[in-house]
Amino acid sequence: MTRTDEELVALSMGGDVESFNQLVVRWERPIYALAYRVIGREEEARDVVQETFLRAFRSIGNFRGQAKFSSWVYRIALNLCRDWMRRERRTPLMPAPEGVDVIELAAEQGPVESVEDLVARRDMSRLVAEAMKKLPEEQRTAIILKEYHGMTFQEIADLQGVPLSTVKTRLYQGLNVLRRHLAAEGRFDPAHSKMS
Amino acid sequence: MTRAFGCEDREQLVALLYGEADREEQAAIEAHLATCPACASEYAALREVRTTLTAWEPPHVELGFRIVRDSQPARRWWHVPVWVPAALAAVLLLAVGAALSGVQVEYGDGTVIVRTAWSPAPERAVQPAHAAVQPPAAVVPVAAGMSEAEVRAALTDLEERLRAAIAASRPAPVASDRDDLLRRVESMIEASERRQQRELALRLAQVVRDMDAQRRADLVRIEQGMGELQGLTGRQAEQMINYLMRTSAPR
Repeated sequence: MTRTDEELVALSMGGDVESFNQLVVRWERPIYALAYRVIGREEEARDVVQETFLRAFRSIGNFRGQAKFSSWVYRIALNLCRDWMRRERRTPLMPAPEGVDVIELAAEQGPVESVEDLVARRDMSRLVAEAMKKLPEEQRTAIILKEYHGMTFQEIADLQGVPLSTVKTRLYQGLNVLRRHLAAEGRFDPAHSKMS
Repeated sequence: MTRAFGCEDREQLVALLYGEADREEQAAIEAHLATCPACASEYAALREVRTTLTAWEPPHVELGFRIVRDSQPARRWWHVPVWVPAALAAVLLLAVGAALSGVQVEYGDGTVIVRTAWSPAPERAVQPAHAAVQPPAAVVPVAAGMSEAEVRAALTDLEERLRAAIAASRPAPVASDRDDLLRRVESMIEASERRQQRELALRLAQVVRDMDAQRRADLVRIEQGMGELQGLTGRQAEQMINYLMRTSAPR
């Protein structure tokens, strides 16, 4: 029987480590994706995930349940990402472009996608990562939470501690910066990129 | 009443874009997009950006974090009873003594038997198989479940008995041994003094030889200097003497 997050949290608060580990299994990959997209480094993102769940475990007794468990750990992870960026005093770094190994690509993907498509997708992924790097942190985080984690405007507003209208502004402005950058790379219809 | 949507409200396009506009807001935005090519084009561009963003995938990494709680607290060194170091030191001393004196330690049946071999046992030499004739033994009863105090008391008792046995086994010096020892010490002192006098004489002879050699070398240089002076003209000799007087005058 699959327990809900709330049930697992309640068991964890009672000292059941295995219940907490089920929460870890459930949420570690979304948290990793969030951390990786925000700070852009694999190893550091992995460290953020580990530290996020350690902190969550240590303070599970203080979790009152006003928010969802996922929102709580997202907040911890985002704070850790912000700490990391302040400590490193730099914008997120995306992996440097590397030579694409088509054999490796073909091996890790199914046969339905051609090698050319795989290369193009990998190339596009790198391009998006570089475009996201151009955004201010708050716009980038808002877009990541919306696009890749499916949060509502209100949830993002709660996580970022800003009014809902600010979230909309950040999303709108961030998307427009991305649009211009991608158009400059020849990825968009020029007619769209001329709009302002 | 349906709220109007204008070009200045473009930030609200994200509400439609992400499906978070309520029905009234959605209707207003869609009505505006139908009549405003600029806003319609921007909306299409934003949708295209969203499509492009799906290409960004984080690398697949193995995570598998687990919280592990220690099953039992780690023992810390300061939890060791305070008497243990002292007991270990005593055992170490006894071990050294045993190594030097032939103490036998046996354990079994819940007891530890320490048997000393300091006392001569002539009976054993003639009757080695006789079990009743043994050197004095110290028996320390140690059994599982004994308290710290009981073990400590047993070890203290063992230590006292072994000390007494060591003291008893040490042979008392006799008068003839003392005289012999005194004579040996005196002869060693005399030999040492003779050795020191011989070395002193050798060093003095070496110093005298060195001084004599230096004196002879100085005389040779003085004779050479006098010969050079004799070869000078009167004027040169005068200048040399003046020079020597100037340089030798006290400053």
